[in-house]
Amino acid sequence: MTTRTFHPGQSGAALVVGPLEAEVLECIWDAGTVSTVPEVHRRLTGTDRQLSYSAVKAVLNNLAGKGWLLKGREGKLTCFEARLTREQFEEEVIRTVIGSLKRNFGEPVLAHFVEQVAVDEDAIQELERLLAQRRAELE
Amino acid sequence: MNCCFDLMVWAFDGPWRNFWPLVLLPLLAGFISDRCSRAFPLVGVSHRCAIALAALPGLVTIGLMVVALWQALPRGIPHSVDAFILGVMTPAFAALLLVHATTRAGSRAAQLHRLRGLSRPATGRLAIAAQVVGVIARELPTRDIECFISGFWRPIAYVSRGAVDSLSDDQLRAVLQHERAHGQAGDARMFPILSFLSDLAPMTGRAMDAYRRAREQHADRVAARCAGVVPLASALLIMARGHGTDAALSMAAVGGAWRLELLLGVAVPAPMSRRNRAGITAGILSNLLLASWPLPHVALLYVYCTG
Repeated sequence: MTTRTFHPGQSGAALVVGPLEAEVLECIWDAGTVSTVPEVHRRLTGTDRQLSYSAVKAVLNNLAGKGWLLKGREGKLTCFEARLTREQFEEEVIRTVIGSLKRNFGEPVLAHFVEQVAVDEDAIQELERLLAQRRAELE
Repeated sequence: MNCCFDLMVWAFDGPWRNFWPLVLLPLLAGFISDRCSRAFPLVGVSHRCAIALAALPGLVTIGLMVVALWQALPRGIPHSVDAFILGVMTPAFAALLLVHATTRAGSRAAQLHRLRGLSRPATGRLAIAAQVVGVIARELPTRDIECFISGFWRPIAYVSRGAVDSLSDDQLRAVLQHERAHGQAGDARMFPILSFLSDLAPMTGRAMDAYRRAREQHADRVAARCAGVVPLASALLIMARGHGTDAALSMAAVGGAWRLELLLGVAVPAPMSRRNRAGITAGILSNLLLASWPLPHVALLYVYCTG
């Protein structure tokens, strides 16, 4: 999945995909089921909006190409389904951004609290024992 | 003797006079910085020394870039190979270095901005803990365990939903105290500056690690004083457990659970040996000398030009 684009003024899905792509994604999430191109087009153009069928189809194909939608066939119609729920999408984007920061810039965000903690299981157990000892001393 | 003289002429009067320092001196400064950073102990590092070693190679590069660009400005269209090297090639190389570092800084800022866009204002326990500690906090809607501070002008502590769910109130406060200590010490401002400078020169990674360790240690000390050792250490352990293999792997690079050992009194900062101290001081002085290289260079040129 690609999250190269970034639109700082936006929120939600529009942060990482284009505005129309975000609308289409929201539309598919709201529907909650597998949607065909005509269905998505109908929903998006419901409120006096001029949007061509081919534009909607192209956006759906783009989103499938980027990995945000799953593409399949239902009879003669092409259908699309969200690969992730809205919450999973947010998590995925956050994970991608943090992962990219770590990969490209080493320790990019200062004081990454966890990053410098863990060792192996034995060491953690030993530290837990020491912590329990310290706690007992304080009590 | 003649050979030496020719070399001097080539180095200080030839068309390559700005190019070779721009390539070699940052490398030399980076090498010195790397060698000195190896002498730092795991804990008990002076953050000022670490800052000097991380920043000086970048400052060396900036000084030389200024000279290269300054000398290219009044030259106009080059009509010979020598003029091309001095007036186009060298400043182009300097500009390339600058663009590289600026692009990386921009990319870093954009990614952090993206995280800010994806985060939400703190609610519930996190909001209360942030209010008690006196830090601006935002929540990242992810089950992963993440916790960090970022923001040049206005440091903000980012805590993930997963971290909030797995920590008790005491532990959450201890974590926020740790981040607040970073914010108050100006680390959130210093880090992007050092990152930018280290992008301008090679081999500054170890010095950056030493700086980071020193600041972590400082923030832990402040947080332990304000929130107690046990909540802080247990928060670290809980988050370490939750983080899984990734953290375990990255930990190998920075030398084990020194923060916890330090907090629990297992490890104590060992005083640096006199030899290492002398080596680090010599390294910083050498890099300072290298950073001041453009000054006599420019002064000589000025005297030469004004006759």
